Amino acid sequence: MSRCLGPRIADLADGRMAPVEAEKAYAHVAVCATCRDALAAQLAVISRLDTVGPLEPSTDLFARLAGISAADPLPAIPPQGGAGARPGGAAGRRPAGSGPGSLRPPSRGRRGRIVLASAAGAAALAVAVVVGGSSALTSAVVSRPSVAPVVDTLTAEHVVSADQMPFAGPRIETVAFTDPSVTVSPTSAP
Amino acid sequence: MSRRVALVAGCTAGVLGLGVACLAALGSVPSATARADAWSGWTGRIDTASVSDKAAMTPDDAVAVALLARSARAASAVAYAGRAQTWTRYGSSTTDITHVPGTGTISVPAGAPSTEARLAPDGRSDSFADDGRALAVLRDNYRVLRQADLDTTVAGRPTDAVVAVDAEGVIDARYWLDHATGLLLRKELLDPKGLVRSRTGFETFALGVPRGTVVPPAAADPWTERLSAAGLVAARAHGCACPDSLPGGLALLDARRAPAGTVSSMPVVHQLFSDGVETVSLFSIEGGLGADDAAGLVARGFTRQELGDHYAWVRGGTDKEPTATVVWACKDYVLTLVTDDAVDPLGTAGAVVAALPPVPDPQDSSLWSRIARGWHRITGGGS
Repeated sequence: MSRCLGPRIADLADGRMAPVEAEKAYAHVAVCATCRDALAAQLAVISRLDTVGPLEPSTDLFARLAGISAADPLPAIPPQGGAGARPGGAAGRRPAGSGPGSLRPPSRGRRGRIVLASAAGAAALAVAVVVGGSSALTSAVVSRPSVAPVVDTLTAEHVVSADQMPFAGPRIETVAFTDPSVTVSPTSAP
Repeated sequence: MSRRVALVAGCTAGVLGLGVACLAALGSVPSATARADAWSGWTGRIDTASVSDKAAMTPDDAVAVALLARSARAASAVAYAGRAQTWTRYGSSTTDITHVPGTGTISVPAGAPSTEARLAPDGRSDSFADDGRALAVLRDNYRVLRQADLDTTVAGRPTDAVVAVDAEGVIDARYWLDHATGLLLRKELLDPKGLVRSRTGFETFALGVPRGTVVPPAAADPWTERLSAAGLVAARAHGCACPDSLPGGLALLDARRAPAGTVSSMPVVHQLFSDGVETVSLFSIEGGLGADDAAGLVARGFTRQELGDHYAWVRGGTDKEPTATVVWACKDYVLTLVTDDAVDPLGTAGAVVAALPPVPDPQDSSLWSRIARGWHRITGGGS
C-alpha cells in the first residue's frame, strides 16, 4: 500500500479494517510520517476516551424525555386570520411564513425552547462524533513510553531468566542490555 | 421555516442527538459488570481451575522426585564446563558453557573469540524460585516418573532418565540427569505425537572449572529489584494486573522490576511463570499503545493478529519461530508476553490475553459498536 490512508485512518484506529487490509495499512504507516501522525492523533483520542468511566443515564431521563410533549405541549398555532378555518384549507394549516402569526416574534419561552433544543442537539451530536473518534481532538497530546523499541530487550530478558530456571537444561544465553537513553521514546501526537 | 417546523426540528435533533450520545457513551466501555468481573477485588489469581487435576493422576514416582530435587540443587552448586547444543526442527546452536558456583555461568558461542563471553550471574531468577519451588510447580502440572529404560550416556557420562507426563498420559518432557552429580545433562521436549520438538544437551562435559578460565564482567542488569509478594500487592494497588498465576497452570516463579529510566521511561515489572515445562514472561509497563508502537512493532516483525476474541501484536509462535512475543494494551498498562517451550505458543498467549483482555477491545471501540452496545444495554439486553 503506497497511497496515504486519508479517512481510512479512522477505520484503522477503530479496528474496523479487515486484517489483511490492516496489515497493509500498518506497513504503509510504518513508512509514511503523515499517516503515522494521523494515526497517532486518532489513537490518542481513543485512548483518552477509553479512560472515561461508564456513563449511566439518570433514572428519570427517559421519563422526562417522554413527558416533554405531555407536560409542555407545543402551543397551538392560531388559525389564519386569527379565527375560524381558512376557506378551502384544512383547519389550522397555513403556508410557512404567511399570515399575521409569522410576523409576530416568538414568545420568550418558545424561542428559548428552540434554542435549547437546537443547542442540545448540536452538543449531543458533537459528543457522539467525538466518541466516534473524529478529528475534533486531534490536537490532544499524550506522553507515554513507547514499548516498540524495548520489546527486544524484554524478549532477551525472558531468555536470560528462563534459561537459569531449574530444569531449563544447558541452554544459557546472555545479552547486553541496550542503552536506556536509546530505548526510551516518549510519544506525542501533534 | 415556520416556528413550528423549527421547533419540531430542533426538538427532534435534540432528542436524537441526546439518544446517540447516551448510546455511544453507554457503549464506550464494556459492560460495567464485565469490567467489574475482570478487575474488582483483583487478587492476582486468574485461573485456579486450569491447574491440572493431580487427583486424577497416579502418584509421582518417589525416585523421580528425589532425582529432580537433587538436580535442582546441583544446578547452582556444582562446577562444570562443556559444550552444549540446542536443537529444534529448524536449526541448532552450540555454546561453550562454564559454571562457577557462587559466581555464575559463562557462555560463549562455539568458535567465537573469548571476548564474546558473557556472564549470567547466579541467583538471577530466584525471588520466588527457592529450593523446591520449580519442582513443586512441575509436580503440580505433571506426573514425574523414573524411566530406567531410557537411561543412557550423555557426553560420556551415565545418566538417570526421568519423564514428565501430563494429565492425558502424554510424555511432554524427558530429562537425563547425571548419575554422579544429578546435573541435568540433556532435556527433550515432545509434541503430542511423541516427536521431539526441541533438545538441549551437552556434547562434551567435565566437572570443575578449567584452568585459566576468565570470568567476564557482568553486563549492567536493570532488573535488580526483586518483587516479593508484598511488592506485587503494592504494584496491583497502583493498577498493574501483576497476576500470581496464568491460565494453564502457569505459576509465578520470579518477579522483578526495572526502575524508570533503565529499560523504559516508566518502571517495568517482569514476572516469570512456569508450569514446570513451559516458561512464560509477562512484562507490564504503564501506558498505552500508540501509532509509534504500531509502526515500530511492524518494523520489528510483528503483525496484528486475532487471538481468541481479541486482537494483539504477535511475533513468532510458529513452528519455525517457536518463541512467541505478544503485545497488547490492558487497562492502563501495555503487556508483553514472551513464551517458549510451549507446544502451542499462540494458544498459551491467547489464554493469557483472554484473562487480561484489552479494555476496551480495539475491535469494538468504533462509534457504531458503542452505539450498538449502548442500545443493547438500554433495551435490557445487556448488563
